[in-house]
Amino acid sequence: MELSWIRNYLWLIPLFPALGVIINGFFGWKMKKTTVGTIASMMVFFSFLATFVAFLYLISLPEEHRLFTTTLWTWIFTGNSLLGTFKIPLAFQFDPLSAVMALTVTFVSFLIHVYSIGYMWHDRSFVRFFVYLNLFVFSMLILVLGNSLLLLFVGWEGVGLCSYLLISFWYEDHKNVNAGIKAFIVNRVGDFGFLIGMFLLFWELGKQGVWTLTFTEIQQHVELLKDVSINLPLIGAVAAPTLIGILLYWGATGKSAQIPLYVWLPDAMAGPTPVSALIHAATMVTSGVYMIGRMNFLYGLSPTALAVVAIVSSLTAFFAATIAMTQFDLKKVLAYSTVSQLGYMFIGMGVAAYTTGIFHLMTHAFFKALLFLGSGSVMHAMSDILDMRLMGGLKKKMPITFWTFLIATLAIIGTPFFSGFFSKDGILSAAYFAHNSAIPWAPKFAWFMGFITAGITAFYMFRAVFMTFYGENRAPEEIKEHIHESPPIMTIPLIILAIFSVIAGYVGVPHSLGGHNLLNHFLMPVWVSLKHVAEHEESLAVEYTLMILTLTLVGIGVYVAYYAYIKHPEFPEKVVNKFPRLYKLLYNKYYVDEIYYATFLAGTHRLTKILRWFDVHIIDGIVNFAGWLGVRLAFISGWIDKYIVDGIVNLIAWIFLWTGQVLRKIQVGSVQAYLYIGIGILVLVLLINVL
Amino acid sequence: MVKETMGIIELLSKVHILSVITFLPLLAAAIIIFIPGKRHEIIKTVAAVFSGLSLLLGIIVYIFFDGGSTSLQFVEKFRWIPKFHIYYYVGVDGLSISMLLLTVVISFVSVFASWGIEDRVKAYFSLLMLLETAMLGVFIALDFFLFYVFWELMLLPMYFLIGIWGGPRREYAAIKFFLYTLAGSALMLLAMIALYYAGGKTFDLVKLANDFDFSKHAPIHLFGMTLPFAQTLFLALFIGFAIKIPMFPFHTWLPDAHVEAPTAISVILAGVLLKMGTYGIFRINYTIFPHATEYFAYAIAVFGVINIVYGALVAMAQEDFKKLIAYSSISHMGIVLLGMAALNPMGMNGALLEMFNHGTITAMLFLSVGVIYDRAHHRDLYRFGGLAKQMPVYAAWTAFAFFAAMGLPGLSGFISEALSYLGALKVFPALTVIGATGIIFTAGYLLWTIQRVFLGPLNEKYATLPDINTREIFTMALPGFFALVIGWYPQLVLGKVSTYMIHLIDIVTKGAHW
Repeated sequence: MELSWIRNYLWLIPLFPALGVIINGFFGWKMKKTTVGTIASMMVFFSFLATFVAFLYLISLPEEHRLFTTTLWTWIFTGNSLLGTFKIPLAFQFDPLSAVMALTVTFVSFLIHVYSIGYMWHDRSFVRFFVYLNLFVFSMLILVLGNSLLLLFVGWEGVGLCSYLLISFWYEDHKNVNAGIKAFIVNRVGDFGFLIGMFLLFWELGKQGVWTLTFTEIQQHVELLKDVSINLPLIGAVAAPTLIGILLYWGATGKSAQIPLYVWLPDAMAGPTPVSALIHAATMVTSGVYMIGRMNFLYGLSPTALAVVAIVSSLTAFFAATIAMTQFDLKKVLAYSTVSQLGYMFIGMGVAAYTTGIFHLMTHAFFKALLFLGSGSVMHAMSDILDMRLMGGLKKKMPITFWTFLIATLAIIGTPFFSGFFSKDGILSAAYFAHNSAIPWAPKFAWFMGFITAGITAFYMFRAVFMTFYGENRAPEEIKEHIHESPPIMTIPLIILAIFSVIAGYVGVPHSLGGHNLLNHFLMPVWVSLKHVAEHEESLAVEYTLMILTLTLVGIGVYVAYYAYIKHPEFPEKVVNKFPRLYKLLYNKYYVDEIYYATFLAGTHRLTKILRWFDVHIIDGIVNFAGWLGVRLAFISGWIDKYIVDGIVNLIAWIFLWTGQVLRKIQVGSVQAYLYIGIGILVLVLLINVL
Repeated sequence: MVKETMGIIELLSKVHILSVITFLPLLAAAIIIFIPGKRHEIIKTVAAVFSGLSLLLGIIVYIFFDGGSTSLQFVEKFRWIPKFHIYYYVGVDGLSISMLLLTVVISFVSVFASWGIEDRVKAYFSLLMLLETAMLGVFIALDFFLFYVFWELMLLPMYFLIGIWGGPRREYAAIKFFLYTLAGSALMLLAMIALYYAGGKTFDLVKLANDFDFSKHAPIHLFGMTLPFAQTLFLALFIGFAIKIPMFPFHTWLPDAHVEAPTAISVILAGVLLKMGTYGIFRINYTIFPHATEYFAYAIAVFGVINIVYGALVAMAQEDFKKLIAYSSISHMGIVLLGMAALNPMGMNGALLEMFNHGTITAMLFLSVGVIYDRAHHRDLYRFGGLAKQMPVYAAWTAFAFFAAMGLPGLSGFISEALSYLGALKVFPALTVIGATGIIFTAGYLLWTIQRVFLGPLNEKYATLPDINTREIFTMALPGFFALVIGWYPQLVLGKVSTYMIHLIDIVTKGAHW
């Protein structure tokens, strides 16, 4: 079949969800719920089909030509000038990386759209929900298909917007709105770094005579930045790729919830659960990982930047996992687990094993979406209760939810033959074997953190499974009565996702396990920076040892969970009483939120108040004083005018008048008057003479 | 095709299209005077029709304006006061063409935004029309004297529109506005007269820019000081324009004027009038004093950054909805200052585009405030809450405007803000990084405002408020159209202006001619 037409029609992929937004946004309120849901879902499905066509066409091309671009028009052009030419096309590109991302995004999104029809059916704002959801898919597709950093950024902020809209979806509760605002602002802090990084990249390349922000062109000329350094105040000279790489990663810590900007993600669970599944687990939060993969040619120039990524994210993986151990809110557990798993993906990127990072991104999309949808199904049954202390025993009442949830749990902890096993193992072994010329201990450190975290993950995930599905139900009676399995429109997506949570791993089975690692072969052309690096020799023996070590730790984690939550339910209490401080620290998430609040938020708030005072009393005070002074001066000059200037005039006038009257009196012809005047004058003359 | 286009351009020039656009509203004002004061509908219709005609012709001129050329187009030049070498000299180039479009759009919108005026309708609409003529005149004038006349002409209707139809403190606000602007005008007048004599007795802005190098002109002796001619005049003019922008610390008239002004007047004030400040700097300071421009570029950037951050932070502390938007204008105009100081294609184009985008976006913001003020009769942010439930369509339109103001990608504000910051980063890296924190604060106060007005539980007091009506939607949709389209196709404006902006950079940095 001739598929090359897709070369010119890549814009169809984001167009469909955009149409969904327009149709449902303007006419949805007049339509039936079924119609609205169907339109929204079908638009994403069409998008998936178009992506699939593009994918088929892509693999029909020879490996070195697997990239094509559809240009719509010149987006921004500021004219030709020697001082800099900014010319960015509005164009989409499709290559193996975009393909993996777009396929995952559209496929998982489609399932979640379908699930949402059931989940949101009774919601007052059904239409609004689907408009937002379609808008999200549109933004996400712009992000993964955009052919320039700037267009990527459009999607990047676009998904941030949708995240805000969906977290604060039930806006009548201020708690949800606060969570949404927090997400947006924290992401903006990240975007601030991202923007500066992007602009620096533009100018540094520009200084070398290359004016561009499109990926292919940056890739072509990125070597020009090899020996460029940028002088920073206080710090001194920093290699340009390092600085730019770290700034872009700063953006990624916002979007992908890494230290120090991960704080918004746990709160983001305030949104409807399908949103948590789609946006805050499967797709949007992975965009930072995608971005690093997309910019791998830049990171290839800076081992320092890669080391920073590896260190920060492995710490994130560890700390988030420790927090997850103590939470009781099911969705919070999953949220911290997401932060932790994103940390794994970044470890893969940070040790330049890009395929493993993207691989884990993909498998995680399935099993984490499944976990969230499963928790949504539980909430649906439990009348929106999320506290695991009130759950228990749901295994029998919700078999499909239970089994699919269990499969996802097995996948996330890395049980052999489940998808997570292959992808997580890939990351850990890559980290173990990786070298970093700038910070040599970074990859091993990342591996160690990832290794420990694997055990913790097993513990907290099974803790969740046991607390939710096993034992006796601890909910109040009236809720207990209503517990039921969810309708097929919700369970079918669960089943499909469960299937993928198992089989998705088989596209990337490593050679050491007798696989062909298809995904790696497929993605390899994108990782241009790896072409110059010699394949590191991996000892199979060491690799198997690592695998067994990890699995042992995972096993221990599961057992501890079993011991503490099934066999000896009083055990957790004991541990808590033994380490009350540590427990409190973990339970309160290391007080990071409180610290941020006390410093940044309270500081800004105070500053705004001070500045307003300054504005009203000082600046405007001066203005009003000037005005007051003007009026005073006018008053004084008015007084002077009236009493001095005018006074003199009046005086003169009065004198004339008076003289006139006097003279007139003189001329009245009164003898007496003449006499008096005569005497008066005489006296006057005499006086003057005497004096 | 080319021939036909040429023919149309020739025809447009022949009919004095710019003057027609400019004086149509004045004609409307004259007609309105003869309509009986009680016939409100007729008066409003006349205003709508004439400003609509101006809009239509403005769009035609915009379409046929050749963006690839740096020369003046649709020029008209007549002797006006020969004794003082004053000309009626108008025309458009890449600098003014987008402002012309902005003015006709915003004026048209403001007529519909004024539809609810019931008090002294006749006077109101004739003043509004007079205002439109004055604003258009400022943007097309090429003779300094003519420019000054239009500039002053604008003050008069503005003063009365705020002073008569304004809020409770309208007189204070109107006088403050009037005196502040007048102080700027006085400086401008002095500079104009100085230029007139220094430039061989001419007010011709093109001639003043092309034929003279004022950086070599003999210094001014004043109060025993010796002041360099170009720098001094630059500053005098700059302060005059800075008041209009308004630039910190000359900005406090703006919140007062906005709070007291009726909605439509706020729309014009923020949408068009503020742009005259930065337009004047481009048109007069940049072209006539290129060396002084380079000399002061850093200072302009510093004040730009102060405007951005200070404006945003003070906005965050406001309790009055309209005051908050007014401070957000101050913040956004800072981006224009920062971009224009960069003197490179990204910064300059970004600044000019930001002028256009802010004009349309802030118009939506003030319209939005007007909608709620008309219904709730107050603007206290702490007394609303949950309105999204009661007025969902209104909430959606306001959110759209807010996100545009936030510089959200996909909407126009993003393009111009990104370009301004990008351009400035090269020249003033540290300043730009400080200024770019504005994107965080802006998101902060706008989201917080959305929350206070629209989200949370519905304030029962407002459970009966009607949603936004069709007329109000129409007024927001027109500027909204530009906010959306320019986000994806900014060439709509950049295509007309970028060639000229690069030329303007050459004028400043290399002393090239118009």
